[in-house]
Amino acid sequence: MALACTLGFKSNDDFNRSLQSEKTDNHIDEFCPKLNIENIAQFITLPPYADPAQYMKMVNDNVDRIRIQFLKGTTTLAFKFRNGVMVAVDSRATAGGFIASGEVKKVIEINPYLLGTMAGGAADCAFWERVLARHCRIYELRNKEKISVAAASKILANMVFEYRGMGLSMGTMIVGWDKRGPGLYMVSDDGERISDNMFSVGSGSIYAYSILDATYKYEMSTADAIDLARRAIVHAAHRDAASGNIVRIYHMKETGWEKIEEKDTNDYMYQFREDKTMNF
Amino acid sequence: MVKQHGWYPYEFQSGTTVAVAGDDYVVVASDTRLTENYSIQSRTHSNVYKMHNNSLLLSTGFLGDVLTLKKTLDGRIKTYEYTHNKPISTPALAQMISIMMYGRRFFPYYTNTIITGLDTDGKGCVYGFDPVGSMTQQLYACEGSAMPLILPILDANILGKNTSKPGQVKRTKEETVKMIKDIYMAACERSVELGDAVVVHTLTKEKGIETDVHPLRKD
Repeated sequence: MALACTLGFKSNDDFNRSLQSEKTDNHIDEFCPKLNIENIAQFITLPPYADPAQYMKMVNDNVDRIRIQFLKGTTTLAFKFRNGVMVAVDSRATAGGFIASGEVKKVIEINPYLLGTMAGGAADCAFWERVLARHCRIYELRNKEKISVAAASKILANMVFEYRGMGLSMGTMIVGWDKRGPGLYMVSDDGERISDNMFSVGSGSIYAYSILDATYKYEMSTADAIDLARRAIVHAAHRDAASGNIVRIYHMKETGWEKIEEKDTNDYMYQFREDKTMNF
Repeated sequence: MVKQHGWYPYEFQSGTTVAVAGDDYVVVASDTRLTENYSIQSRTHSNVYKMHNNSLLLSTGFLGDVLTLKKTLDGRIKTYEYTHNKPISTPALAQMISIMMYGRRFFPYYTNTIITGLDTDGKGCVYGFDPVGSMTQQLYACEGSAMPLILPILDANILGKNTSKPGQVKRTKEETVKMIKDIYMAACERSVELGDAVVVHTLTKEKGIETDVHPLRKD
């Protein structure tokens, strides 16, 4: 699919047909043009009412027992330090007040040197980061070099800006390592895209920020960075009802990302209670 | 109840579905009661739909969207088979459902769907979706009106969560079917929207789909 795209073939074309010949097989296109995500504007159906954000809010507010509940994700964080970027997420997904899942993968592995985190609407993050993965792959094929983190985050921010105001809910961090070194950008559903050394997104981010701000130093060792990331998520999971279950930690290095661990936050909390080794 | 004048395209027809994946089988179940606002529309409506590639689609929520989703999916599955010359595998079908449902992000299919089947290695797989297509692969899934009653029982029985013996419990096909029937019988005592009968389907490579209907309380 990606190669066909690079060469300019329409995806439903037979490889035997030449570029010049008229496309005669229009039936397949008419039947299912919408599965083709090459043209996103055609793919996403416009709703028959004026304000999607307002309508979805109304439906969510329990009109006559109807409740469309989307899965929302919750505490994610990432920070740059001397040896790369550390990314940590929880794994709880809530639908209204119900815990829909305790094993959601909130770090989306776009490719071996790019990671995206998920906070906000699970479907929104998963879908747009998948489209981003496709764009990154095509860039790599066309230009014979890996896409930069700045460019990847810009692609995502611009795509999402087109749907600004329509009710998307997405707070994602794009983490990677390119020729400029480690990269960390936060992209959100209103088209905001900023770069900094440390971010935390989600309902539990306020708790995570306090732990991070207390002991963060750029010159940390890798072991200290893992410990800090883990503590921040565990404490956020402890205090925020919508975060919890498993903490997953990834380390973005020059050679690509590496998954460090995935363990239960509850077990860690009991361990920290007995430990009391945090030095401020 | 006083409702504001407006356009309400969605309805909520109840139904509860359960799916459990095993090493070489998948067991799915659905109750057969269709209610709308405390009146029973049908006592013989199952929420399990068989797809052309031998996967089972379980879908509850708004029946209009469920049937349209099923119909559109059927067409897509056939198109896949014609263009790729092989039946679509369940993991690929799950990804297709995910982006199809996201295509209606601003006017969603009001359905809680689960797609189940055997993957290319013959292992059972269960994929759950939210109304806009967020896909997660799971060991077991439950959706519908009695989900808050049934899901904790599945957590305790299958993964041993919050019990004195934590850890996954492996079961055979027959043991899983028995467990699911017991769970439905317990849940229908406490849920008005559950009852009439439970239809249990078992999908295996050798025997295909076997069906079993077990009656429940009709009141």
